[in-house]
Amino acid sequence: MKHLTTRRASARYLLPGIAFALLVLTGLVLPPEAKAQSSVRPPENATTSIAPPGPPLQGGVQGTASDADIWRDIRQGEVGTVPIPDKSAGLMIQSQGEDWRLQRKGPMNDYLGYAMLATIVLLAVFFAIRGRIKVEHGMSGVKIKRFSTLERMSHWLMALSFITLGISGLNFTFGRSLVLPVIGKDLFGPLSGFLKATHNYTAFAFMIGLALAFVLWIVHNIPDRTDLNWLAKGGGLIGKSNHPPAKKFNAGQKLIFWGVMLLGLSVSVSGWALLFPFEHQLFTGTFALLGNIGIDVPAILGLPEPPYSAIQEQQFNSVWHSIVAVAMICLIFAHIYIGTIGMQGAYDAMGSGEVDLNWAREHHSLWAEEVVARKPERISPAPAE
Amino acid sequence: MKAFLLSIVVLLLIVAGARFGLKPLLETPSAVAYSTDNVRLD
Repeated sequence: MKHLTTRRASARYLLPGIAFALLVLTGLVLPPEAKAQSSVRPPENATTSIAPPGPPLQGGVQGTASDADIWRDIRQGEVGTVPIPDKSAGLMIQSQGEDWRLQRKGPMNDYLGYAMLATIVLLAVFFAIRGRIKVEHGMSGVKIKRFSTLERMSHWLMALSFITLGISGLNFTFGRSLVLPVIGKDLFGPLSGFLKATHNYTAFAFMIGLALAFVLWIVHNIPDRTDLNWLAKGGGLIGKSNHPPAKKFNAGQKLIFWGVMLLGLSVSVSGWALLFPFEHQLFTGTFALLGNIGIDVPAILGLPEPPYSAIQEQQFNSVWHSIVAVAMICLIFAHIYIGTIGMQGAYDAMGSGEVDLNWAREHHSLWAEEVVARKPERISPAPAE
Repeated sequence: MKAFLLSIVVLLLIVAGARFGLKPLLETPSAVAYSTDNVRLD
């Protein structure tokens, strides 16, 4: 009985021992790959990689590796995706903004400043050479009504608002470099804030003045044949006894009128888009229209191709607003010159609204004869000596 | 001179009217501009 018990115990320990020995042998002989293989084969279309679907992740799945490419793309304006409603937030770096900043701080402002200075210098040189244009036959003392109160009010509304806009606008562009060093930061800060608000609200007065002037004077500013003769004779600016006939407005005044209207409209529209930002696609639309008639503005100016993002539109608006405003300032310099020190008797037209009859006959002969012949009530006789 | 003075009055009226009517649109208080109340997720 004892012998039988001993044999059963030996068999109980022998089988696990053999199994253990087989396992050890298998581990020593088989290659590592074979050890990892499962006896259950996966289906053919099973995903065997741990990487998520789609293009490979930049920087690796753990983000431990730097990737210059992704940052270069972001720096150059690559747009990503964001879960918030404002999808424009996917743009981390608006690369054109740096171009815009450098442009404004660099050559553009210099050129705009030079343009205004050059205009003043040219007018000064012209004044030095030509002198004041006088009424050749002297003042008659007889006055002729040239502009009504409404016309003059519209003119001064436009003029005063434009001067206010010009001063406050130039402070945006040149104040930091020209005004700040003189008056200091403590004054420049609040002053610039006040001028900014003034600029924004005065803009509406300018637009209304512009519209009034357009309605009141468009009839007198339609080009006609007398303008060609006036231009051919240089407007009588050069030489004496040279007074080409003109109607109520001569060709020079018509050029000023249309210049003010077109530039004023453009500066108003771009200013409106700056007042109410990110709501208008002016440049994308304008360049597309010009492209339809064969003028590829982006290619000519080296700009990126449209369509433009909302922030790019604002940057273009800002640049265009400055350029047009300065062009208008230069034009108005010439207008102020000829209306004040450049020509005797010219200021009276907008001052009192009445001009001397001899002045009218020399500079607006066709208009003066018409008034004398048809509207004698507009003529005030010379005061008694 | 009358027209000039009149233009100043009109100018001031327009500027005051524009400020009265458009201030909420054109001037955003810093408390609103830098608030996160209007930020929401999809």
